[in-house]
Amino acid sequence: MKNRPDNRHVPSLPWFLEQRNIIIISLSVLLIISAATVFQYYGHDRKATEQFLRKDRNAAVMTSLILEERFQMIIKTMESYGNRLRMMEAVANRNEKKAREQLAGLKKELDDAESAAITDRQGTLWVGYPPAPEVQGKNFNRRDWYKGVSRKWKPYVSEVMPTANGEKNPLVVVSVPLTDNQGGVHGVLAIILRTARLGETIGRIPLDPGSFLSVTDQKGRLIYSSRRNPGKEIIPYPFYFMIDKPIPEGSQSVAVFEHSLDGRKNYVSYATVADKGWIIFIERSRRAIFLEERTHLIQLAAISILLFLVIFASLLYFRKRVLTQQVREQLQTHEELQASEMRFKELFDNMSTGVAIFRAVNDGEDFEIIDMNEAGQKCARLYTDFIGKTLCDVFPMVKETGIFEFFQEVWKTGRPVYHPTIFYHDGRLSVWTESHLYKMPSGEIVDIVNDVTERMKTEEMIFRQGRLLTAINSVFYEALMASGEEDVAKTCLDVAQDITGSKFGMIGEITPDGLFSTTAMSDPGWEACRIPEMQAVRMIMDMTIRGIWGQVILQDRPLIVNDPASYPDRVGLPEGHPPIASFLGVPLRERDKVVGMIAVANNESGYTEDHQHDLEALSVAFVEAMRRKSAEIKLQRMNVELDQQVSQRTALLTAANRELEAFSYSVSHDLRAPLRSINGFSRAVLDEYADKLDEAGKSYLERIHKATQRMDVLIDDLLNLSKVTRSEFQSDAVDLSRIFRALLKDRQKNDPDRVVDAIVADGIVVQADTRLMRIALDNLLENAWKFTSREALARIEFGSEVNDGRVFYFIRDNGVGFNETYSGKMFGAFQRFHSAADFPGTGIGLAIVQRIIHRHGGHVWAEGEVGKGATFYFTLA
Amino acid sequence: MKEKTILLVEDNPDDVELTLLAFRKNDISSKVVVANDGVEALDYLFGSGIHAGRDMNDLPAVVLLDLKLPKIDGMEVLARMREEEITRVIPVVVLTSSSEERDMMESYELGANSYIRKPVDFNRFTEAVKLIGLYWLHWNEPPPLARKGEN
Repeated sequence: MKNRPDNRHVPSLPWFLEQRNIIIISLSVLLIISAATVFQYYGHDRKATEQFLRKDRNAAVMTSLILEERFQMIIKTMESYGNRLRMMEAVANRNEKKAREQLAGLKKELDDAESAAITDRQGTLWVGYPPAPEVQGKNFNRRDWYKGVSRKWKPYVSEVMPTANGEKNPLVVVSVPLTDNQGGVHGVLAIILRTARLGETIGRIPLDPGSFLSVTDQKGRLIYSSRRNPGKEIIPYPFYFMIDKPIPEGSQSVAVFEHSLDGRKNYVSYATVADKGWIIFIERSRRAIFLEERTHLIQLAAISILLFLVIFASLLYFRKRVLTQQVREQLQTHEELQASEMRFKELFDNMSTGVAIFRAVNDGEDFEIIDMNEAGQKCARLYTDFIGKTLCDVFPMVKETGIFEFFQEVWKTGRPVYHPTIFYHDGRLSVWTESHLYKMPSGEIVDIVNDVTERMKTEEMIFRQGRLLTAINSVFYEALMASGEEDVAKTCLDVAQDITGSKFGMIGEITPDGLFSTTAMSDPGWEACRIPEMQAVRMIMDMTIRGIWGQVILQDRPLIVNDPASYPDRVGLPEGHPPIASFLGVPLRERDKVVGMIAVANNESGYTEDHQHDLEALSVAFVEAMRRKSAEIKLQRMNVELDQQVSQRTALLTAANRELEAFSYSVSHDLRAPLRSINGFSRAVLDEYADKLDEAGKSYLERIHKATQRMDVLIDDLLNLSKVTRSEFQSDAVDLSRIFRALLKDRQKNDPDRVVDAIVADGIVVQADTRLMRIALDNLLENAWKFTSREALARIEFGSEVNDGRVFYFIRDNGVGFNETYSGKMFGAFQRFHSAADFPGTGIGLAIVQRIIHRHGGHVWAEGEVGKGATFYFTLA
Repeated sequence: MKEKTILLVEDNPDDVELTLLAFRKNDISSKVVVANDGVEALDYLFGSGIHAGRDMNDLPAVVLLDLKLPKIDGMEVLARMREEEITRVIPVVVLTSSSEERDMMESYELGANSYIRKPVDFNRFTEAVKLIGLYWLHWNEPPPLARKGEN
C-alpha cells in the first residue's frame, strides 16, 4: 500500500484555545483588566485624593489654630502689658522712659518681636523699643495695622509688609488698643513680629512629602511658605485668586493648575485663622498624590498584569496541555494507525487473495495501478515496475476480455461488481481469475482477485477427462451394439469430431498389404472422397512421398496443421473434398505399431495440443474398440466353427465313450465269464477229480486257479480306472482331513495288527469331487500303508503346505521309498516298482490317483529315496 | 410241499454248469429251469413260444437273471416281467458279471430284488449261490400271488 493519502484525523481544539481566539481573549481580558484597573485606580485615587485633601484641610485647620493660639497668646501678653498700672501711668503721663521699660519687657517676653511701640490714639508714635528716632512722632494712621485696630479698637494683626531694612522675612504688626480703667482708648500698643519665627513654629507641623504649607495675609500675600521661600519682596500666593472669596470659616480644598509648572494639577486646601484674616494654604500636587499612590498603582498594575498573565498563561497552559494531549493522542493514534497499517500491510502482502488498487485516469479511460499485493502480482504475473502503469499498459488485451468494462462500470456507478471466473489471455500470461471490483470512498478502484487457474486447469482436466471417459465409454457402448468394425469406426469418428470440435474427419487402416483403406468418413456428402479399395494402392503410394495425412502414418506421430495451405507436404485435395482449414491427425497404434490413422479437420479456431492429447487418448480406445469388434466378429465366426467342431468332436467322443463303455461292459462281462469258467472248472477238477491227478497236475491247476484270481483283480482295477475317468464330476467343499481319518480308521480295522503313527493335519478343506477325492486318498493311503508294512514304527502323515502362493497337499510315509529316477513312470497304469511277492498290487492305484488329480486340474508327483520313505504331493486347481 | 422252481436265465453254458454245480454242491435240490436267452425266459414265464401250454401255475420262486443275453437282454426281461401282472411280484435276483453302477441302478429301478455280481473265484461263487438258494428258497416268503400257483 504505497502512496496512500494521509487522511488522518486532526483533532480540533476547544474554540477558546484556538491561537487566534487566545489572542482575542487575551486582548479582551487585558482590556477588561486594564479598564477595571483604571476604574479601580481612579476610584481609589479619588478616595485617596479626598483623604489627602482632608488631611491637608485638617493640617490647614490645625495650623490656623496654632497661629490663632499664638496670636492670642501674643495679644494677651500685649494686653496684659497694656493693662499694667505702670504702663497705664506711663501712657497717661507720656512717660517715655517708663513706657520704654514696659516695651522692653514686652519685647523680651515676646522673643519673636522685632520691636514694640506705642502710639497715641491718633496713631502718632511716641515711644518705641528699641528706640528708633526716625519714626519718633511719625503718624501711622494710614497704616494697615493702625486702621485695623482703630476700626473697632480691637486687637489686630496686620497685613504683611516688607521689612524696612530689606530683611528677608516680611513683617506683621500686632496691634492692641491701650485703654484706661474706664475703657477710654489712650493709644495703641504695637509690636512688629518677624514672620520667620512664625514660620519656625509652622514648619514644625508635619507634612506629607509633596505637600507644601503656605500662610498668607488677608490679601493673599505670602507670609510663610514651605515651598516658596519669600524673599525681600512681598509676593502674592499664586493660587489665592482661585479660591472662593470671602473665605469661609473652616476649611476647603480646591484643584488648581499651576501654569508656571507646565499646567500641573495641584490641589490646594485652605483655612482661615479666626479673626485675623490670615489664610493657611496647603498645596499638594497631583503628582505627589500620584507618587504617594504609586505603590498602589504598581500593586494594582502588578496584580492586573499578574492576573492577565495568569489567565494568559492558563490559556497557554491549557492550550499546550490540550495540544500535548492531542499530540499524544495523535501520536498514539498514529502509532495505532501505524500498527494497524502494519497489520494491514502484512495482511495485504501475505493474503492469498490478490488485491490491486487502481486510480482512474483520463476520466475512466484507463486505470493506473496504485498498489498490488504479492498474490495479486502472482495472479497478474507482474513483478516489477507496475506501480504507476495503467491496466492497458500492462495488459494490452484487457479491453477485449470484458474485464475493462467492469472497471469502467464500477468507476462510473460506484456499485461493486463481481465478475466470475474469466479467462484472460494475452501474449504474456493466460490465467483464470475471478474478481470482486468495488470503488472505495476515495474513488479508487479495488480489484480483489483470485487466481483460479490451477483450479480451472484441474476442472478443465477433470472435465476433459470426464468427457474423454464418457466418449470412450460411448465408443465401447456403441461398439457393443455395432454390427461391424466400420460402424465402430464411424462411432469413433463421431466421438473424435465431437471432442475436438471438428467439422469432419476420417479413420483409415493400413491393410495387410501395406495399403491405406478408409474405414469411416464422417460426412456422407462426400462419398466422392472415399478411397475405394482399388485406389488405395495409388493413395498410399502418393502419401509416402507427400501429403499431410501421410506424414501422420509415415512418421508415426500426431500432427497438427492449422495452416495447411503453406504446409510443405501438402498434396492437394481430391475432387469434391471440402477445403481444409485446420488438420489434426493421430496415428492408430496397436502394440506400438502403426495400424492406421484418425484425422479430423476444420476446428474453427485451429487445433491445440489439448485436442491432440484428447485424440491420442481416444485413439487407444478406438483401436481397442475396433480391434475388439473385429476380434468379436472373428470370435463369432470362430465360435460357430468351434461349435461345429465341438459337436463333431463330441459326437466322436460320445461314440468313443460309448465304445469305451461297451468295452468296459465287455470287460466286465465277457472277460470275466471265461475267467470264471477257468476258475470254476479248475476248482471243480481240483475238488472232484483230485484223485485222478498227480501232484504236478494239481499244482498246475492250482496255478491256473490263482492266475484267474489275479486276473479278476486286474479287471476290477481296470474298471475302476475307467470309472474314474468317466464318472460325473461334482464339485463341493471337501474336508480331506476328515476323509483321510475315516480311511485310516477303515484300514486299521481291516488290518488290526498294524501299528501306524498317523499324523493328520486338521481342517484341510478343498473344493473338489468328494467321491473322487476319497478314491485318490484311499489309493495314496493304501500305497503308504502297504510300503510301510515292514517298518516297526510306521508313520503316515497327511498335511498341506503353502509354497509360492500355491497349496500343496502331501501324504508322507517312512516306508521303503523308491528310486527317484523312475518317479516319472510311477503314475502310469500297471507300473510297478516292487515285485508282487514283496508288495502285492496291480500298479493301477497311482494311475487312478493321477487321473483324479488331473480331473481336478491339479498335479501329482512323488519324492522319495530308497529306504527313506516317500512323499506324494498333489495340488488342486 | 411242492418243489420250488428256480428260473436261471443264463446264456453262457459254462455259467449254467457252474451254477448248477454250485447248487449241487450246496445240496439245493429245487427244480432249476434254465433259459438260454431272454426270449426263452419270457416264453417260460408267460407260457408262450417253446413253453406254450406249460402249466402257468408253476411260477418260479426266484429268477436268477443274467443281464447280458442274446435276443432280449436281462434288463428287458426284467422290465417285461414287471409289466405283467403274473410276474410282477416274482423275486428277481440279478446275477451278473457286471459291476457297472449303471447296470445296478437300472436293475433296481426296474424292480430287481437283489443284485449279485458273480464272483470269479468259484469258491466264492459257490458260497454266493448257496446263500441265494437258502435265502430265496427257504427264508424268503414269496408274495401271495406267486403262492397262488401252488394251489
